[in-house]
Amino acid sequence: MTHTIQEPETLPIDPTQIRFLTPDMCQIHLGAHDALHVTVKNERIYGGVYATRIFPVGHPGKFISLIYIGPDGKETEVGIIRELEEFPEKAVQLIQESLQRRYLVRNISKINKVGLKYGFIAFEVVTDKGPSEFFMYWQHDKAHDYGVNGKVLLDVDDNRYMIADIDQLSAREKADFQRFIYW
Amino acid sequence: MSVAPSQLLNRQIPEELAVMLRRRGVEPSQAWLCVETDLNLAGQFERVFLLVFERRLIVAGMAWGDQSRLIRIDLPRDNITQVRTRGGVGGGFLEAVVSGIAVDFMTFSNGLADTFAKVARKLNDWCENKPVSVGIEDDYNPRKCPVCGMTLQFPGDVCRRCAKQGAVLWRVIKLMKPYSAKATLMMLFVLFGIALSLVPPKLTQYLIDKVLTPVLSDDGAARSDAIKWLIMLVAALLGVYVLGMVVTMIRGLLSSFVGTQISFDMRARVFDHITKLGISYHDRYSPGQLMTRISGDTAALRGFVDQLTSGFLAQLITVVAVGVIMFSLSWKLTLYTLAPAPLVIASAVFFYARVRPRYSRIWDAQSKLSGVLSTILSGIRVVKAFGQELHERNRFTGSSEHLQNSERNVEYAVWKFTPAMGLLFQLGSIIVWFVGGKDVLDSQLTLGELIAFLGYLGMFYAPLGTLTQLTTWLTSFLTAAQRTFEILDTRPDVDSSENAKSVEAQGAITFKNVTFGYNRHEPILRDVSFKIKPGEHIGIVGKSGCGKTTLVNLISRFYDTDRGQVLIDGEEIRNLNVDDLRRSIGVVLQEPFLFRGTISANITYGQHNATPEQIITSAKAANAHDFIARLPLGYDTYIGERGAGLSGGERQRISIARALLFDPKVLILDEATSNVDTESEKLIQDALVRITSGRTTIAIAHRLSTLKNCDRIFVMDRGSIIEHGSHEELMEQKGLYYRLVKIQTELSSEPSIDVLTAEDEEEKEKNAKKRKTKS
Repeated sequence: MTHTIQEPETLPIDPTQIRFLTPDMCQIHLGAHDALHVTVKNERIYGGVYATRIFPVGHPGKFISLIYIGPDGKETEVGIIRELEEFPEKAVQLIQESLQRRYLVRNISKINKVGLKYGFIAFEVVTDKGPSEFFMYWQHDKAHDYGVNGKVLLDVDDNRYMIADIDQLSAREKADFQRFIYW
Repeated sequence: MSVAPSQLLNRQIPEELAVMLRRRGVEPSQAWLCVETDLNLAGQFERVFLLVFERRLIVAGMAWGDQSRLIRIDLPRDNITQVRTRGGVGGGFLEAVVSGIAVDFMTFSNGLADTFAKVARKLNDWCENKPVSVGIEDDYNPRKCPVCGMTLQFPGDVCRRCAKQGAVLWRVIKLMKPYSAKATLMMLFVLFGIALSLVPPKLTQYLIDKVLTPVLSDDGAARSDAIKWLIMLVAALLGVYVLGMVVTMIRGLLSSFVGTQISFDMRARVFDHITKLGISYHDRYSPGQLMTRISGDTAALRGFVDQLTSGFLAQLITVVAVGVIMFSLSWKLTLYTLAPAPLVIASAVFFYARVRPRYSRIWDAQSKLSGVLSTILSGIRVVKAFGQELHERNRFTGSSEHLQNSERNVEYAVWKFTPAMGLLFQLGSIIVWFVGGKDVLDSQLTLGELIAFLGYLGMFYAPLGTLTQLTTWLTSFLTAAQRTFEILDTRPDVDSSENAKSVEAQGAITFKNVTFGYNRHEPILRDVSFKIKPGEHIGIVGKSGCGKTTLVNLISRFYDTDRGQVLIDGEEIRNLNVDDLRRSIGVVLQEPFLFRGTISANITYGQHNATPEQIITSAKAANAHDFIARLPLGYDTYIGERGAGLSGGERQRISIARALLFDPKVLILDEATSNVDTESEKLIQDALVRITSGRTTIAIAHRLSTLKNCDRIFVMDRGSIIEHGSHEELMEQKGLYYRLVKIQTELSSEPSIDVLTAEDEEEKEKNAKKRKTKS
């Protein structure tokens, strides 16, 4: 029998109440081992925090949740940043770095080639992280809607490739893309 | 620490990085684990290496710039209490708990998730100073094709890159193999029918050249010959028409037989396959989408046979046969006839490329509309309760409009293309009129030959016109066929192996270091081990999302473990026949699912040959008989979709009766009483006490009162069993179970397990007193 009993940490946070974090009540900074820390005034320092978007499609630049990971791995929301721009530049940079780390999405800017190969859809694309070739299963659950006109593609490894707006592709690219991703 | 060569976990770092590290006093060759990732902590592509030494780990990146970025992380082992993987979006992290703080020290894209899951396990052992080994066995990854390295959809899947891909059309033709005799006969009749259709224009030629022209230009002597010719020609035409009718009739009957049979077979195959596919497949697709595939796409296959007999194949043969005859009549006119052909072919190819995706969009729109309808109709009570009829109408209208637009999109394209093609053909016939008429005037062609040629020209252009729509039909058909084969090509992720053993389970269940997650980064169950003896009653408690239902899903083998083993009666579950296994396990779910049909049919589901006596016995044991007997039609009462017309408690008792009739050795109760009122719960609990006797029983419970009869209780927290023992033992431990009982006692007005236990004790004492008094 596996036993890993660990006393839960008692945090001064009421999980049933929404708490918006503002610059006057908290400070976002790096702490030990360059981990992201949030110091909430008159409360405590939360070390080992990560940022996540609550509305990644509807409001990608707003409503960022800061989540504290306890030593036992339990995740607790420290609070929500409604407007990131309200924070000092350094804090904004730290939050954006945390978001970049969490959202490993390659943004497709150009489709060079798309076709069927071995029963997969084979893509040759240019992304914000450089040129890329990938295979994806020709299945509905591998291409999700992103907002009104975007698509997120999942390759065979579940890596994510995003086209934020299909209409921004050239007519040829769009036609090629929709020959396969028609849904 | 045992270290052997491994391509994944014992990589050679680039020499320039090694040199740089040596300058900083780090000797890379002393690392017992060296693994490479493709991303740095900023989420940018970079070759980054994790090197783990005896007492420290470092992370070094290739883009070191001013060298301050050479070593990104340097952590002494003694400061690390735990290493784990955590999932991000499209990738994940290695995270260490250092002095109580969670520190991300390596990022990886999803393609490396399995490798880093292994790394995390090894690092945890390393932190705890346990023996760790690295070797060639670490390079094995069941999710990768051993030949080409392509990631598979699930462990054991066939690699698509290495497997031969059959052309869709060829695969459809092969479907006709079982009916090859009838299909061949059908095709002979098709050919015979085409041959007959070629006769009338030829008869027309004879009518003009042998009957009408001599009579119009000659005297009475020619007239008697002409009458003979006329009678023969009329008789021949009549014969051709009668024979044509018979041939068409037989061809139609055969076509109908073969077409409906293929469609029937495909429906059965697709349905069988969908029911064999694992729960994970059904997690991904809505019932509405699958319904469209079973009914709509398989019906499209029937159209293929129709196209063979009266559609494009028949017309293609007609075009060739007519072309040969036309050529024999006048090669010059035939060439003029073919003048527009290259333009037609080029247009058709262009059309094919443009229209095919639009057809796919129609199918998608139909599928989505079915999904929306299915959701709204199955949730109609919620819709009405929240007064959301208008909202749902708008949602339905939106989907309906999408279908309308998709259909218009295709049909508009078709209606632009088809008349344009028609015009091209008409241009050909205009040329024939002019050139042919001139040839008759110049006596190079007889009038009969020209009229016959024009007759054949109609026969040539009519199917050619249809053939331009071949691409339209073919694209629609191939899309449907491709989707059908997509289902058939999906291998069940959980299936009986070829050497699967039959099993009649006795009810011993063992979990050995089981780890499982729906997502590779985040296991739901972590290294779970336990043994349950046959006939033992086990309760499972824990907070929502702690892995209770996942654990019992693995016993039924709805999913396979990622690591570790599940054994039934000492045999690894993967070696057992899945059907036998599931027949040995009865499941009563929180939301009982009843099928549309009679109560009797619902109870006998899975045991269709049960006698009325058996049905009543199981219903009585489930405390269901009394309410069933009170219904006007008793066991023959017809209940609606999902048991509509019955209360939650009544539905649950029927589902218990169903499970009981199955006579399983293992009974799983997944929050079986959490959705019923207290009175129903009491009736169900009484029933459960009876039916669980002598069976291995695993009861998941939110209401702890359900567990008062359990031999042992497992307390789960975040995927692990953290406490186990009887109720009394757990209360003495004052751990999580104790806290949960206290919380429930404080919050709930309903009796807690403590109160129930106390009541039980009181009742026992009272009974004992009564017995004493009597004696």
